Amino acid sequence: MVPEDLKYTDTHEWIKIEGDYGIVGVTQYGFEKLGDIVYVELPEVGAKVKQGEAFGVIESVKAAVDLISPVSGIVEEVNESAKKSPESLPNDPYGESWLIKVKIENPTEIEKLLSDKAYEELIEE
Amino acid sequence: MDYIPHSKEDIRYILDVLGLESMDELFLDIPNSLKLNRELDIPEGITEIELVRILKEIASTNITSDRFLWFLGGGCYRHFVPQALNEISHRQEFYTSYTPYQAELSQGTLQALFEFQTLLCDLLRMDVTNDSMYDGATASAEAMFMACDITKRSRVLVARSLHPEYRMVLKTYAEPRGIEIIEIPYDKVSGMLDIGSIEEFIQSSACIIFQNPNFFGIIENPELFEPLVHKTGALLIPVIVEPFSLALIKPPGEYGADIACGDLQSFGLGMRFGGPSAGFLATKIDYIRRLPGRIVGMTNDMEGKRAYAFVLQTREQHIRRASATSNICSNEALCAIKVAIYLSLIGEEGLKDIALTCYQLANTVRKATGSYFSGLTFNELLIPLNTSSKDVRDVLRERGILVLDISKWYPEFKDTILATFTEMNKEDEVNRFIEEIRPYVRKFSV
Repeated sequence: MVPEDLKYTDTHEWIKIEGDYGIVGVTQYGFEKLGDIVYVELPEVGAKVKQGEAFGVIESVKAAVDLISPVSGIVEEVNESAKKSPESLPNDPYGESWLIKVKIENPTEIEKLLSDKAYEELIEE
Repeated sequence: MDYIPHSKEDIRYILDVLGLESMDELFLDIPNSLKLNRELDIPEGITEIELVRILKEIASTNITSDRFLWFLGGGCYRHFVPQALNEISHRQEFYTSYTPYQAELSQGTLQALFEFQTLLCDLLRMDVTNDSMYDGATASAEAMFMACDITKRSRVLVARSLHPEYRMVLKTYAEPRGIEIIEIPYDKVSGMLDIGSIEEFIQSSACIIFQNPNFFGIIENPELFEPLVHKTGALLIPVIVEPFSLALIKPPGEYGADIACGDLQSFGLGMRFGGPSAGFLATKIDYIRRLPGRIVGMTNDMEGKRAYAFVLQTREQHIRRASATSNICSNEALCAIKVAIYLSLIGEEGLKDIALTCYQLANTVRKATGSYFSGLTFNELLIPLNTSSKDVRDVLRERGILVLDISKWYPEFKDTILATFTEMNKEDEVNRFIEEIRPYVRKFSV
């Protein structure tokens, strides 16, 4: 079961909408597929992100993949502890392991994201 | 390599499978002007003994470095290749494996590449290198990409005194990515980089890429413009085409280079009609994940014994799949291993001795002929002439002496020649060179 109050991408990122802001992370399923995480590269505060485009990189022992932004906007906050101890990211994917907080530029973009049910169907396939 | 002939039936079968009418269709991508457009000038149906005779005759018209007094350089240098190097590098464990696909099974190859990286970092005084690039030109292009990626800028400054063929490769790589190249001139007197031009354009540029010693053999002084470059957030990228220079001049890591790249042909690879060579790409630890290719690391295996592994290859296709930004994972493993063997054979003292010999020969000649530029000379010398470069080159060639006319790349140098000196040039050869060129030198001193 994935949390009901989040929106999802088909590249296994989640976003929690809080007013004008969105908090972004990687889903539990995403972490499971990656395996042991060794490194995460995140943007600077103030950087622009775009829906569907890479905002960072996450590296596991077997792969390095782009982190795709669910929305467009400006990076307001970055989870520094995620950068410092990437290995513990999979422990709390929807809580402590958030990656960036974005000021959302265009709220209509949210409609393009997957609901919890749609995401669940996707990962069951 | 063995020649495996195809019968007419074989060829017809392959063409049918491919859905092609003729062999020529396989080569449609090659511009017609580059094709021979006729049959080879060898009669059909001759015996092997006849064929060998004809081919030997054709081959005997090649100019080889043994039969001439060789002062050619300009990016490909004639240095001695010790027999021990071939003996070691021809071991089948090194020689027959194209690249370690089952990497951890190839501990010997990995260890040799690890030594390669260590030797290069020592020479360059840089934090990290990958385990080799194709050659100096493509290494420069990858350095350019790294700089644009790191700085998020898309304009690069490239020295006019960088090897002209390297500049062509940079241009080829830059265009599809929308990278703008601005050429930085050389100072007309010293031959070194024109610092005023760097100052003018460095703002909002990703980097400056320059050769040191430059194409004219002049040693640059990067400390003069390093603060200027870094103040604007741009990166300093030296290209080392003659790595023997590293034994005598300040290495990139000591003047604040962010990325250092270059060619390793000088280190035991021979000239071989221009290749294969190997390139290197080194950087600061902060940028280690931006390096293309692979990095070998030393670690412990399950039993706690020393072992080697590919520890980082963050941009490659087999790691990043669709979002890969590099695909050079096969690199130049064998050439890189040869470089490691060569450097181990000559050692630190040998490296210095050879570099010093090159330097002394070039500077002895410089005393006699003068130099077009006032900057310091390492082992290549641009000599001012009283007549055209082409004429002097041709006259000298008839007398068995080879020098480089660079006017095809630099129209401004139509009355100069570039002469290069290495440990292969005996002292009497150099004296003969001075005597032969004397009548054509513009201002003959001594």
